[in-house]
Amino acid sequence: MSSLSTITAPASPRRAGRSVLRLVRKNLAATKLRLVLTALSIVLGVSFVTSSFVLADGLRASFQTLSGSINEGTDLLLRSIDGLGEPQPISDELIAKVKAVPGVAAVAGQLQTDGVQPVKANGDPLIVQGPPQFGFAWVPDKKLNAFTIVEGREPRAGAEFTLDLDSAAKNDFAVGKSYDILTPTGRHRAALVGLVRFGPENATLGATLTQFPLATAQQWLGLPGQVRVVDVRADGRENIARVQQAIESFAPAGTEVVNQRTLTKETEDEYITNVNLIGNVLLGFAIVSLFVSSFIIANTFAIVVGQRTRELALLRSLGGSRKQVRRMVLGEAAIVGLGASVVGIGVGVLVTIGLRAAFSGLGITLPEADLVVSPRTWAIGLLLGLGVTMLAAIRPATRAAKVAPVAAMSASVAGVEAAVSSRSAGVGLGMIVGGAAMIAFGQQQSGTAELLSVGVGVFALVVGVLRLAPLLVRPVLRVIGAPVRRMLGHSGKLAQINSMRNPRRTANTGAALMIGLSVVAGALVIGESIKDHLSNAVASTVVADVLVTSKTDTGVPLVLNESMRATGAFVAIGEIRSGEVLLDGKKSAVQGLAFSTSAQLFNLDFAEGSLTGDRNAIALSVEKAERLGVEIGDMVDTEFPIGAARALKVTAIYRADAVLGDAVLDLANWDQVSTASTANIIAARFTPSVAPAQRSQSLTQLAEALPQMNVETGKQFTERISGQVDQLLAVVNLMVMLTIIIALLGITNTLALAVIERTRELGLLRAVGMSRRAMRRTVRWEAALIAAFGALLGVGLGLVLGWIGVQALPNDIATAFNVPSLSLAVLTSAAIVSAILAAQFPARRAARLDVLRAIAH
Amino acid sequence: MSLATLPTQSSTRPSNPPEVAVQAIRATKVYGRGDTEVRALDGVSVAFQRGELTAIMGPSGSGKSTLMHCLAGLDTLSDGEVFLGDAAVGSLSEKALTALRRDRIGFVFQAFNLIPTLSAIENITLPLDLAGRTADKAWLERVIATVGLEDRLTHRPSELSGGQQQRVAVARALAARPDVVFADEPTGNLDSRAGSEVLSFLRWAVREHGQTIIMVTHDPVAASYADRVVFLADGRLVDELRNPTAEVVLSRMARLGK
Repeated sequence: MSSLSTITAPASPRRAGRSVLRLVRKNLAATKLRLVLTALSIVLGVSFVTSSFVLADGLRASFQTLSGSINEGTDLLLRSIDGLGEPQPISDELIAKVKAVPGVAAVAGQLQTDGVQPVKANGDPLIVQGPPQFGFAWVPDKKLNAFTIVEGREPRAGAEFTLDLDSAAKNDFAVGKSYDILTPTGRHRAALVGLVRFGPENATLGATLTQFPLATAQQWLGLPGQVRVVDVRADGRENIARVQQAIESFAPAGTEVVNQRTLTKETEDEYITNVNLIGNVLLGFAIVSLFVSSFIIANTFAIVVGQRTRELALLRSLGGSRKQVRRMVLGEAAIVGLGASVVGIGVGVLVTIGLRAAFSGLGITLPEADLVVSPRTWAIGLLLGLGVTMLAAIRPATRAAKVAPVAAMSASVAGVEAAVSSRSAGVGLGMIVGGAAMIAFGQQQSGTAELLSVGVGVFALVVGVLRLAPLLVRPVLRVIGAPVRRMLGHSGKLAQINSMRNPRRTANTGAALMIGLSVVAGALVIGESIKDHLSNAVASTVVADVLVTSKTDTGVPLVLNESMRATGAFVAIGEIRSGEVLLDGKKSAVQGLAFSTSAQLFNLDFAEGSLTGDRNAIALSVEKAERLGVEIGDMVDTEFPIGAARALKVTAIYRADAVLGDAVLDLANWDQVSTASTANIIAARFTPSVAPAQRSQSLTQLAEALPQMNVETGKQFTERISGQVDQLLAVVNLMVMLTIIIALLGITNTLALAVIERTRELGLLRAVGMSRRAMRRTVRWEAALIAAFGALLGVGLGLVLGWIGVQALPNDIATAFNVPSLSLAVLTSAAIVSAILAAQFPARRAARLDVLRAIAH
Repeated sequence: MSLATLPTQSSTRPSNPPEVAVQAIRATKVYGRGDTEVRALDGVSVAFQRGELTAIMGPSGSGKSTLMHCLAGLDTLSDGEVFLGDAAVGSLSEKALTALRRDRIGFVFQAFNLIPTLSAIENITLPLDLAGRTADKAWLERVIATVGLEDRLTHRPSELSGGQQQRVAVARALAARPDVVFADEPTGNLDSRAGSEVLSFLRWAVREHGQTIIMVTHDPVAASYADRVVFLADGRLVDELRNPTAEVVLSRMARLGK
């Protein structure tokens, strides 16, 4: 015995580590199928994270091209101070004044205005959804002008215009021809005399850019004698500061002079804020899908560890320490996580392309951008993928380490899991109760306190349900499995029993689906409630027969009023305009309405008082009056963007805030609010004598004359407004789709592993006479039952989340809690059907088992 | 105390004059409670000599497997004590038990003896690898030559016959030269020829190298390869036999069965 010490060299931890590593490697190589299935969920999660970064980075990078060209030649800019309402135009007399300042090389007046749409040769106006459609004044100075002529010549005088080359090419505009142009002042006709490039690459980000001679632009854009800004170029950098001071000395009150750096910074800030918003929303969904992936990963590792119990026990009896076993499982997780993350980042680039396509399919055109995979994207993608996998593997690894060495000697069959500990159930129940209490408490609060306690409450609720889920598996499946049993006989019975034999596994697999579906169901409930409120509110407010609104949010030209009046078909025509004022010192949106005619077009649903034709009257919504703490007859200090402040008397308090917002002023006051020549809505009511046939004809004519406008009846208008909620829901659901796909993969995965695990017993079933078809059916319906469990829990949780959401929303957005039963039923059935499809692969595998070999397994 | 060094300090241990390798003193193992109480071991005291092949026999449920599990530190006693050399197994921590198994014990099981993803040679050196030690090459080569697996070393277990797999398992048990090798029905899954190959190999290890082996079996032929057979019935030691033959063992077993 004393010779023993000479036989073995001193222990080396490195050698031991290598041996663990070798086991890891060989195990992974031997279980390629499991590997692919596990990795797939990580790949999807990471790819989504990556694509959210790639998309945002690409958009950010595209800004560099854009901003460089926008402000390049401009040294200084004279503009009105950004205050209340839209920026006010300034007199074009300032151009000459500025030009006279010593050190000024060039000056140009600019009046960039949105809503300028050239009409194609076929009569359709060029409409883009999303990017703006700007009309400009042509700037003769080449350095101040961001545009360069690439074909034809510049617009010189009168009815001439130029167009950016991409818009021209896409829509078949040809130099030398004349086209109609829709502007806020109506329809005009001009000759296209040239095509221009914007900046070095015409990086218009999808916008339409037209240019007119200054005088024409002033007329057509509705700003005669005025400009929005004055661009200044100094003759030499050293003069810029001096020129700025000189201009400031005579610049009128309410204007400011800013330099190029400030301009670029402002443009950039605004752009980056938008890009960050998009990126963060995507990232949020990506993290939800990674969270879901973690369930699948945990499940896979748990099953794999279970299947290898004897092997792990053998290792332990041969002297492997717990630590070594744990490290082995974690090592496998690390390699899978890392590999899948790398693949996921690659797939993420493809997903980005798909996302862009999906966005544009939804009518949201994103600017063109390169696919940028920054080092940070790599780092975060790898870290998240690896981290989530490792975290998910901790529990299975710890369980693996607890396998007793003696298990190597006992026979093992695919097990039936012991019931979940009552302690775990207690914790779950506690979290649900605590979460509900937090939510109830939060609903009494407001602002950050509400958000925080409701947020924490919802989190506790969800985690509590997840913890409790294994305990719910058996009772729930006993109920929902009963019809399957009745329908399918023995296969159904087996499917039900199998779905109940490992509650934790079924719960985990179902949980992935549950999370995805609860988000969708919650969003559906909130959306339905908003929609319902909105359509009720809009329908009861709109009395008018016809409503005209802009298709591109650029407003309806006021001149339309006149042309509609000329038809003689309407007894009342009126508009709603919108602007901003300070009410008791607080910035408030305000709508303008002709009080005298409004009753024929809109029902304000007064709680108190009525509209009076008083120039000093104001009407407030119930909510706003409450917030301001005022009642009928009280005075409200009102500050206008233009003109002096006054106190207005509250003469009416109304409920129709869905259409009319928080405050309504008589149009008599409007010259103090805005100079814009457009309205939000132009509404009209037919003369009673006009017959129905004539009415619809009149509508059709109006629509044909105004291709860039929505010309709608009250009903159509209501439907479109509430339909916008559907668009938002579509975006949310698209994002959640990925989560659901991951969850379905989880079902495939769990069942594929279960089939491997039950090889012997499946072989036995076949040996005693079960047909292949029955075998396939058993596996498929097990999947259906797991999915049904997840879907039920998910929809249930979604209803709760939706209810919480509706409660949290202000009353002017949603009032009553509405359950879209049909959508939820469709959702649940779709989940179950998808699960049956997802189980196709394991089902076939089970059916194809060789009976003899399965039994010998 | 560094656990890793414990097993190799055999030279500093007080020598056990009667050359006892493993010893159970009043070993008792009780499963369940009250009505369902089962006394798998009921005060078994037995010593196993160093350099001997001892067979433990007994009818099903006699407690022979439980005794072996407890002797090997795979299971814990309800009462009594097991000494491996001078180490009281019952008082060792989980970590110390792992080290004990790794450094001083070898195992051969009835089935599922090998890690399916590792080759034969990797399986043989696995306990050494887990301990982070290098094999004594000359010894390893002799063991491999004796079991006749030289040309099968790179094969996976699935590519080996049952007998070959079991010989790999025995080679693995011997590779680290443990104090004791425990064999649990090592021939239970083999035909008689493959079984006798494995048993001859175990015999060789005892004869040529003074290896201590404790083997649980219910096969009188396997038991006849042992130096000594101990018989268990109802958790008690009931009989003992030196230099057994298959016939004698069979007749003793038949008597126990009554």
